[in-house]
Amino acid sequence: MSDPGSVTSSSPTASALERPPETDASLYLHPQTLARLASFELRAKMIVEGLSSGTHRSPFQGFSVEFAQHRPYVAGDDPRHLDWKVFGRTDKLQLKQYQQETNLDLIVMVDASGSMFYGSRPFAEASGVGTKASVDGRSTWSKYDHSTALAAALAYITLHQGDRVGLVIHADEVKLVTRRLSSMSAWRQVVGALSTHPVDSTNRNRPTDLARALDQALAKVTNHCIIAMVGDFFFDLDVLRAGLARIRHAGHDLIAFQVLDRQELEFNFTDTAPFEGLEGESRVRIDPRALREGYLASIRKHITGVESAIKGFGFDSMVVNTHDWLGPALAGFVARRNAQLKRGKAGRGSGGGADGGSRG
Amino acid sequence: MNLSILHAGLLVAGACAVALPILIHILLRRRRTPVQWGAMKFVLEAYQQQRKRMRLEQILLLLCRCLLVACLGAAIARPFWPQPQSAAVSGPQTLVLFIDNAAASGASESGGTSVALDLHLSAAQRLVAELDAARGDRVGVITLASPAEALVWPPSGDLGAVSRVLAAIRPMASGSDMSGGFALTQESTGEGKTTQSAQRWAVLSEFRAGSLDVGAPPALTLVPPQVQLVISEAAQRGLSNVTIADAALLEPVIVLGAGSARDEEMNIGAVRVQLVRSGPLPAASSTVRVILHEAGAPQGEVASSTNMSWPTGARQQSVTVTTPRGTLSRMRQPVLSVTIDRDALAVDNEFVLPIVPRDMLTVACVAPAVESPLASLGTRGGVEGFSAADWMYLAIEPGGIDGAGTGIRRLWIEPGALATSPLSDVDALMIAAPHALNDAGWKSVASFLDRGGVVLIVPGGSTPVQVWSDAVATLMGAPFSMSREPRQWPVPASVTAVDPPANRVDPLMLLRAEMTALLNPVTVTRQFVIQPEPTVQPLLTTIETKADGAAGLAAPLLVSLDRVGAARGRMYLFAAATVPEWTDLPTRPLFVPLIQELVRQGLGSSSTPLVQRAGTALMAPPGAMTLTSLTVQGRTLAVSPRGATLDAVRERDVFNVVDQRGLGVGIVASAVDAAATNLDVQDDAAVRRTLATMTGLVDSPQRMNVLGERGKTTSSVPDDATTAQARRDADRASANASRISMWLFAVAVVLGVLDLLLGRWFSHASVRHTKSALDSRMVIDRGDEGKERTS
Repeated sequence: MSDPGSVTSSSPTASALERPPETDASLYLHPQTLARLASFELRAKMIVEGLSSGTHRSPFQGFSVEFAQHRPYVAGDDPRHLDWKVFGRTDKLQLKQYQQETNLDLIVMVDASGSMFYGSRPFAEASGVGTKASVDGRSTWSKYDHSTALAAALAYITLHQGDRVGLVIHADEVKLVTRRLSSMSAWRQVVGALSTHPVDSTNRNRPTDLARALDQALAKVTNHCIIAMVGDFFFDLDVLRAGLARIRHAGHDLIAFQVLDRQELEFNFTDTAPFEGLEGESRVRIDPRALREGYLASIRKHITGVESAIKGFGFDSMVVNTHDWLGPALAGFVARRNAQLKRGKAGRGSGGGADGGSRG
Repeated sequence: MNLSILHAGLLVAGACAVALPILIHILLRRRRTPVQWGAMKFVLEAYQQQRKRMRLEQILLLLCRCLLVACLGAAIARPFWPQPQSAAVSGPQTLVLFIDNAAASGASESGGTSVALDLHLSAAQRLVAELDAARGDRVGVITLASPAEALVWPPSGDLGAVSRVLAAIRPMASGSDMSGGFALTQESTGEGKTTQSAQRWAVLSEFRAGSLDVGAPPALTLVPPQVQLVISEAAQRGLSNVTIADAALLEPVIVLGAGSARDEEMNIGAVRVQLVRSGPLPAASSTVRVILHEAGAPQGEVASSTNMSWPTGARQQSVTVTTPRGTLSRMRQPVLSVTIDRDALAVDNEFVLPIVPRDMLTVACVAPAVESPLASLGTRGGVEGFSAADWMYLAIEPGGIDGAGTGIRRLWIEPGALATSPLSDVDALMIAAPHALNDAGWKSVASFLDRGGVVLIVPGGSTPVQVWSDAVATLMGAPFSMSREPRQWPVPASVTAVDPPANRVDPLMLLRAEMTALLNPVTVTRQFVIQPEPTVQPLLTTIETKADGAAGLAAPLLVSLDRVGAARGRMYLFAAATVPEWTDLPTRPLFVPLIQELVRQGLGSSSTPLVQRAGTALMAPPGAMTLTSLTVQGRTLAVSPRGATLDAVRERDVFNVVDQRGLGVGIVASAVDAAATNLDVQDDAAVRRTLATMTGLVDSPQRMNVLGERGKTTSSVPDDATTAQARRDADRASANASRISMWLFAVAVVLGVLDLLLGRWFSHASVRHTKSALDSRMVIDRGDEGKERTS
């Protein structure tokens, strides 16, 4: 893995010189949202491997605070870990092993493909400070804007609990990778990277290539992380399943946020008009009311398929409506997830699980 | 059959308006800006699934809207089916041909060989050729020569036989009986199926004045509603034609006499020929020729002729032609043939006048012999004591020698013996003592009149009060009133002649030229007063002379009495007794010729007319059983007991009258109907109006159309603004009557409603917009969440 702290970009046109100044984070995330999310902790559903000790269970059993198990002493073991109480009762040399707690690396993968630039919500309504247009002049709140807000929120939660946050922006390939940091400056870095990237017009008409993006992103990750995949997931389910398998195989946890615009969920157009795809699809003139039933059935099937695929691999997912306030939805999701984790730990503890002592 | 359009321009506009929905569709397409859409993948999926259905919906909507506009445009354009063609849409047709073969149908152009009837028959043959016997088409043929005759009726499906019948139709000499022709179809209205199917009546005529009198009120025959009337074009050019309207001997009674004079060549007097002219009326001349010959035999040389000239514009002329001398006693059935030059119509260029010579003329005087010195004493007693009967008796044969050379025989019949007297040989009765007749005697007089006798009634001078005028009224069969007592004129009244109406026989015709001079010395002292009645025609009238010489009251002195319902017999009545105490007429020069003319002219007009107009049943002389044609072999007409032929005669012909013993008892001729030979053209609009009135189609002009030259029905008559206007009115009436527009409007309304429904349905406006793709999924999530919480 390359230097995890560096900011790299695979697009030659996305040079730092061409980017506009970093946007104020409050443009995407309302302070009240941040305040509400601050009380929650993002816990790794799976045991992740961190570089420093933290609040998360580590798959590596070492010599930490929380006892894990005994094992017989073999030559070469550090005699400091011998359990002398056991030797005194049983006259056998047993080593004490502890559940090593580590910190959490959250990698936020934001989809910046062409379809993410659709939005029907007024920017002024969705923006945290009431700004009427985005930095690139759009008056609508796109899915990418919402993804930015979501990524910022996730980063804020993660950094707030002392964990590291990294960012990957991708479309048909990885466009930008930020170094994982645990300092609060990382949050500004994440927000700044996300807010400046959409103005890059090179992402238009580029469909998502998940397999390629994952290849490029995971190649730089050597430890187990939580991957927060944020996007509209408008790609084939088979591709998704292949990517999920890849993530699962690499030992990462995944939280999928399927960001959709309300118009995409309701398709409430009334007038006949030509529709033109943002990812290079051909233009077609349709009567939206005539197609609405078929469209809703099709997208409903896709959403259900995405969720089923993600849940099938034991990951969590959430559908995020760009017209909804992010705070309550994300808070509810995190609360539910934490509750599930606690129930899972309690279940393992009552069964004599090794991680029964980890913090909830 | 072609659909006609009242407002063709609106139809074109409607057709152009069909493009409006398409244009709107195209304009709306171009105006829309494309929607940048992220989830295009799912839109394309839905589009692929429903593309065919959407295309079908759009086509249906577009079709519906185009049809809606087209229907509205067509409805406003007011389409209608032309009525004549509408009757021939489908199914069996019935064609009824009314062919005018009246006298005017024989008209031909100058030097032409074909007559108008040939054109009518050709048109009829074309119409028949258009029919299809296999389809059940039928044809009826009715000829219009008066009286109209149904040659093929009920309509027949044997079209070949109908064609042969048509080919045999010839022009007749009678007038046209269109009303009768139409009425013939109604006689079997309730019988045949023809009234239920579509019928086309074709009236083929030139509608010249001789065929259709547009000025006369036509008889109404209501045409059934399923009938379309098609008429041929009216003649556009008049043809010059001269008709011999009438010919009559100035002395109608020819007495051969007895003895050697009978076999001598004799002069039968002059014949007065009446000519009428029609068509163009330039100044012209005509030659009238008279030939005496045997009926049915070839004519010999022209015996006499007279040239006459026509002033410009003159329509009728009379000419008197001296007849040739001939030995009538040696001729079995002598006739006079009057001919003129050839012109447009041939049938009216010859007039055959039968001659019926009498061997003896017998006149009976009915009066008591004891009151008549002449009867009892002869002329030896002088004229002072003459009764009215004596004066009458003397006037008949002033020479006093009965039958000697003059051919006149006198009889004296007692009034009481009149009922039993054989009057079969008597030609005229002079009743000089009507007060002496009893009822039987008056009945005998009535029988005598029925046989065609002449009765001359003179009041008896010895009876100051009369009651016999009631018997005269009975004889007449009509109201007749005469004063019971005579009026005494204070001063002897003068007498003047009265001209009879033009349509009546004038018994004093030969005296008219000298009448004024002859009446000048005549005065009347006393007379009965006869009340004027329509059936009483005055011939001489007494004019009261006042003291100052001015004219006073007037009273008829001599009248002709018409008998109602009787064809034969003639009655004349003197209002004053022919005695010097009443009037000095018997002593004046007028008296003898007056009585002679009354007897002779009366006999000429009282018996059966020798020449009768074609178009009616011929009246035959008493005792006739059949009439046998002398010109056409085998043509025989039966005579009814009432004295008329059972069948009407439509042609010009001469018939031999045959009694029950098979013996010829007279001769009768049928002549052309002069009124039917009028070849004047008539206004086409007036013709259509008259026919519409005649057939009850005044309110349905669209059911009457004109047959063109090629036999094709057209709804227009060119070069006539009035007719064009009438055609437009007819079209408008057809359009008003047509329900096509109404149905088109109804279809447009239905299409409009259908368009609304389809538009709303296809637009999916009823789909709830609040429904989201996450609705059902969120319910599942909440269920899962609930499960997790409970677990």
